[in-house]
Amino acid sequence: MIAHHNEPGIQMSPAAPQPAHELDASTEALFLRLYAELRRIADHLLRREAVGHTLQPTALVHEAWFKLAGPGAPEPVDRGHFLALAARAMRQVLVDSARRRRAAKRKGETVHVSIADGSLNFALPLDDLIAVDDALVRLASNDERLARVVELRFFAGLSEDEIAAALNVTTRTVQRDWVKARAWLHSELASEPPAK
Amino acid sequence: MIGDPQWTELNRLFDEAVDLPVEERARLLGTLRLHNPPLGERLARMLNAHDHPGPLDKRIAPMDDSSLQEHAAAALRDRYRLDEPLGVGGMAAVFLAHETKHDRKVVVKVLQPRLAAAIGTARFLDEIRISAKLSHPHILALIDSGEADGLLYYVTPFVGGETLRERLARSGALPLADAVGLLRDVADALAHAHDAGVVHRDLKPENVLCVGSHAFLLDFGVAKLEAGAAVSRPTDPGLAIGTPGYMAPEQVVGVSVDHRADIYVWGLLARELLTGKRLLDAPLGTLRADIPRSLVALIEACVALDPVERPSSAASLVAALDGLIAPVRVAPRWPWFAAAAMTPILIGLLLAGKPAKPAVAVLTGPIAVTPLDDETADTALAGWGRLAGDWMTQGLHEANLLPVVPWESSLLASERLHNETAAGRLHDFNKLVREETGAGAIVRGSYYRTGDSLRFQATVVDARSGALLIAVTPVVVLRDSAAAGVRELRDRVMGAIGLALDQRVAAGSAFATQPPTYEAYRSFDRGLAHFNRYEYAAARVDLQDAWNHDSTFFPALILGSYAAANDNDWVAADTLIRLALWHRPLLNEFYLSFAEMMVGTVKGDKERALRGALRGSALAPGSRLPYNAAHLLEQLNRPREADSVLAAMDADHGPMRDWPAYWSQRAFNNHLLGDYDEELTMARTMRARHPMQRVSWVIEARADAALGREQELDSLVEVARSLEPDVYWSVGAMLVIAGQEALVHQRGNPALRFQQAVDFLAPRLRIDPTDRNHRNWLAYALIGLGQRDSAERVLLKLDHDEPDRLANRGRLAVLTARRGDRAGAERWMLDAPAHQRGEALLYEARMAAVLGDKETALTRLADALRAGVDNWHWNIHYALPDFAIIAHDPRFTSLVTPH
Repeated sequence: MIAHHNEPGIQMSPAAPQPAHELDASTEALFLRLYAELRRIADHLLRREAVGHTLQPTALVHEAWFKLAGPGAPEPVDRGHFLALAARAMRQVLVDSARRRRAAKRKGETVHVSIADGSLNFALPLDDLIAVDDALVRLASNDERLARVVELRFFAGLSEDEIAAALNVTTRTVQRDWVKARAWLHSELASEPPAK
Repeated sequence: MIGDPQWTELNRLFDEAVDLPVEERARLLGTLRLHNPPLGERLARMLNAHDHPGPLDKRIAPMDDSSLQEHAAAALRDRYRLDEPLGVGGMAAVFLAHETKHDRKVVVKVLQPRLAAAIGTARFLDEIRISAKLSHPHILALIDSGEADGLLYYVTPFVGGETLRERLARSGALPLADAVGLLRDVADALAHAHDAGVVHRDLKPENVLCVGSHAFLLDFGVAKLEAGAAVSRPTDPGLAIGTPGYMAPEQVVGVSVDHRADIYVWGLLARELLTGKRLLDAPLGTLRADIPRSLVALIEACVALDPVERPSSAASLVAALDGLIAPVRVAPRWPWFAAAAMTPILIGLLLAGKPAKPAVAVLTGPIAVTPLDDETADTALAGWGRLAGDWMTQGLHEANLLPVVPWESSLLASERLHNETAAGRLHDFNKLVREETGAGAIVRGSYYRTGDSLRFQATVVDARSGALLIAVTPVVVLRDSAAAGVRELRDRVMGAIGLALDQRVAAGSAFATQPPTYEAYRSFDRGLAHFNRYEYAAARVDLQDAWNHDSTFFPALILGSYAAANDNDWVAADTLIRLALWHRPLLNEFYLSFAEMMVGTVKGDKERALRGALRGSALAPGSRLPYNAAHLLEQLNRPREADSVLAAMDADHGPMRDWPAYWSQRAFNNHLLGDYDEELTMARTMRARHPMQRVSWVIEARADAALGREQELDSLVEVARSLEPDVYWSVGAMLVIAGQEALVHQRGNPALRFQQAVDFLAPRLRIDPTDRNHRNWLAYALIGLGQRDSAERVLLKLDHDEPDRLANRGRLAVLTARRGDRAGAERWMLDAPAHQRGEALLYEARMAAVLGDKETALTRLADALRAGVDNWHWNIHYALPDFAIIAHDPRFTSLVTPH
């Protein structure tokens, strides 16, 4: 099994993301901007909003679209392509945050977590989130599209129609892919204890 | 990255297996495991994972309510405008919305994203399609469903009303008729769904909508999806299967469920509607007195732990409830007489067989109120007719008496009528309103101006036949007090409708020319409820209140008199009935007859009561009156007529169902007629139907003793000894009655029975010396044994404790007379209550006979039988030893022989 991420240390500022290796240069640039923007929006939103507000990945991704690629953006970007990229960035924001929080917990240091991290009230246990991320790497090695569907749906919370547009397939295919990816991931997660 | 060598094969097999039925899936897995165990194992794990929830079924972060609403509003913007949230739960958020296309109000339900993610769009749409096929008057139809921007939603019509949960919170336990009607609707809806193979699985008060007197079942199919998507994780209680507290045992333990789970929960729902309580912590019958036993049995059967023991189908519930509703909703009856049956106040009438029921139009909803016609020719007064119609409509909506046609629809219909008429096309008013609004009944009226006064009048007509159902007394007010006039008219119309719909008074209301105000009716309604629960004191307060609200509402007075009599306040009973009769010219024929019965009862003149009852019964057949007539006949020593009246009644339907005294009365009549075998049959029938009524044991003992069946009697007594003690009809009572019977029929061993009674009662009295029931029967036993001094001591103590009881004083009078003390005996009989004139005369006859005064004894006996003697049997047959000196006088024989 290949580790997807290095175990990051605790950082006050957002870590530079590990860009996925298959991205070309221009896409990588967009991805890095997305990553930064998503974190920035998250921090900003959460600072502005009342206590108890929880971060919505879906809303974040949509907001990022308007910020970075929507009408008036410097260069035209295909919305489907953008969303796919945003989903990946979102996944990384979330998983990085989860890893930092887990590491902070392990070291007993909770103070050095950024505002966004602290306010991402995960409905899912951190270990589950990280385990899903790990398993998704393995799934991508078998079937890239299935992994993208999970990323778009699970990490970015996009609708089936949006996913279909992003991957340039039919909604029905998205539905079938999701059923299969979900079953495979769950069977993987059940067969081995979550990463410690 | 290293690829999975089995992936391609696994991928293909999964696609093939995932849509297969369970058995075929198992077959495929079996074959695969045989040929390629590792691959078989992986596929099995994947399929298993497919069937169960996991981490991916949750969102990363929970969505809060306001963002869900924003999200939903944006996602559905094209078709619906979300107006206001009606509620947000763990499963879904519910919004009142406006459907742009059809310009109508709808209800949009949006599944919580976590749930939606777990279910998946395809499964959601498949399942929702199945429930969309359900088309039934009591299932809320599905207008639309789908996925929008990641949200799963479905849309139903907006019908208003309130959920049963809200209704329960507002009013607690429901009136019996309301509960039965709603439960019937729910069962009907379930029956339809079950026929279509759909199990609701999440029946609960939140999922039943009440609109008027109708129920709609919501959310079919959704529960199954929720259950399928449920995450067993305790950290996520929002996704538990079903709803705690509304699950069948098999649902709780998680085995597969079928339609019988719905039947179980229907039983829970029924209990909650009838008692206001959710828990199964007490037998239903003990929580509320007015539930028919057959209904109690039905509901208790539904909540059987084992599905096999439950009623097999929801359709059978509908059939059972229809049996209950028919007499309740259609046939007029007077259940308030029910309360009187075990007490000695009975009003009756003679009915030779079943009379034909007169064709009485029954008020059925929906009811439409049309604008009052303005006949004033005074432009300053225009508009009051519409205001009155609107106001009455709103009042009827609030009162929730029956379905009401919305004011807008009535107005449209009435405008259409005016336009048509103006265009020269003539229409039948009732027909047009019926066709336009679906109304079953129509309120229409008009207002006139005469000098300085305004006169409002209204009638309620049957929309189909046009028959006049209710004519409301016109309201006359000063010209500038139109508002007061409208208010008064509204009150009267609503009161009249309430009364007409009240199944308990339907028989009488058909003759009510003077409908009460609504306030008065409401008090009357409460009084009636108390009355039927034997709470006479409370009933009197409410009935008095009803009369205070509306001094022209005589039924409240007459029933109040009745309640007072049952409350043993005969002075009040007399006063109230006199008050009612002061207004004799205003009373209609029915209430006059009723009052006549009451007067006869209060004055101890049962022949008069019978005359009044006879007339009233012709006016209100199908009621409990024949039963009461039978009881009166029996008191007048006419058991043959009494029994034929009872035999002509239907013991299984209508007022006699769940009425134990029907059987004890029939047994008694047969006893008086000397047909002890028939008496035995009646006693046993009663015991089978009403095992809790211990009097049936005493009756059987009476018949056994009369027939000389000593062994049967012995074993009956033995069994009775093993039963839970009964306060009045104890083993002691059985033995006393058996002894008296043995004495009268000169069979068996009377002394032995009386002694057995003493042996039973005396030790119990030593333990509890205050037990008046035991002391009462001990006195009888001692008299039977000839131990008169002891009996006298027991009775003196009883008389001290309950000074007004004629039975004690009468027995003391006879015992005193036995000692030759005429003056002492007569003192006991001073100031006998008027309503017990016949009984008092009987004791005087016994006194006279004991003192050797034959002629006085015969005269008093004749007077007693003319006045009527309540509980006649216990008094007269067992008084035979006192009548020894006239026993062979033909006049005596002729008097006591049943007429």
